[in-house]
Amino acid sequence: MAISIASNQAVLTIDSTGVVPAGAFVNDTFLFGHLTTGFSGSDFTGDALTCAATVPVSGPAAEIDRLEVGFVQLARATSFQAFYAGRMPSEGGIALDFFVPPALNAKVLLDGASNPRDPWYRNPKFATSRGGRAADFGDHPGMVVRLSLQNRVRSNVRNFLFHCFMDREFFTILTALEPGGKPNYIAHFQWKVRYEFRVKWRAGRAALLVNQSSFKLLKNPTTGRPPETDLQAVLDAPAGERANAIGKRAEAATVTGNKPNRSDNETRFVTVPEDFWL
Amino acid sequence: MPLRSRLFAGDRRLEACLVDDKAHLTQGTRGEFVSKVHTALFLVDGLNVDAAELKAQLYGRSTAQAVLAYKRKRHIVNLSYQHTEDDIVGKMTIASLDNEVALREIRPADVPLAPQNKAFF
Repeated sequence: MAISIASNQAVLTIDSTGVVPAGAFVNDTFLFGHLTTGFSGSDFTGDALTCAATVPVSGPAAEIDRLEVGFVQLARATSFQAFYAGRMPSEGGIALDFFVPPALNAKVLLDGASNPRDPWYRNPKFATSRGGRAADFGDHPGMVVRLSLQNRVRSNVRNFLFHCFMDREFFTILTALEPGGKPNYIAHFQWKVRYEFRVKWRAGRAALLVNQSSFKLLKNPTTGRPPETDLQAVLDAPAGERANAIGKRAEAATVTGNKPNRSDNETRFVTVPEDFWL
Repeated sequence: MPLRSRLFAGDRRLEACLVDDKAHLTQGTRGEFVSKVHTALFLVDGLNVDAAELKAQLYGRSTAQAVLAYKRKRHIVNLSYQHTEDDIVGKMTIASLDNEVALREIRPADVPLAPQNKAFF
């Protein structure tokens, strides 16, 4: 007898209490975008968004014991750009575009924390709940942007961050996996984080932060796998390097790279506010 | 020998400063060439000047203070007629700035390492 999973009776309880996108200057070197919950003021310390899930499961006890139930998450890297300006127009400007080739070649990435086994976001723990199985999820997608960079076409003079934004969507999927089997996507929800900050400098230090960031639950828990066309290839073969490692590499490749990821300009962008540097 | 840094080379006013005492930069001087000195001071020693002087391309009081700090750090004094540093950009100062800017221009840009344990996703 095979295992039966009552996908239509799965319950996913999402907790986004206290999830508020905000920014913090850290060590006068970086701007951190964070979700408040799970951020210490200078470091990421825990999850912000969490989800607890249960799903009824029936079948032979030995097979149920081997069944893994946990979460798979896909991240859609939509956009990530940062703009820098010199203190005066002749000191130039720099644009960084992280989420385009060659720095980042895929928009849909398998996500995961702490090097989990494929296909998991985190390795599942065996947990039961009222005759079914239970699983937990938590995430805290952040953003780290350098506050200044040297402009290569203006004598390596330092340029300063004045605007950055980062858009990502997440598809969080309660999943069951029998040994040697394919993932059974039970139910999913979709959410989005946009970090957007404008920075002003006073007496040589990043001082003012205008926060235009947002967090949004785009789709409530829905039975089955996400139907979006661009996700299907990863859902069919959810394995390999996780988004966090790929994202870190894309960040480094952009900062040290060239066009179209990094553009150093001889003059400032017209969007630099008059009071950007005082 | 003319100025060699990309920042200064070919700027007639700064080239003149290198060879002509009457072309020294002093308080009240204004122009694009002053902006280049602002950039040089910031580039080599991180010396900032008032935003108003940056905007006006003006060799004002804070520029003079930055020049004096730069010269004191390097003991730039023309011993033929003075005993201590002043706040003027003359032949010796423009040559020194030009040399240091040129050296920085050929160095690859510094890139601070991003925290490796932080979440990007």
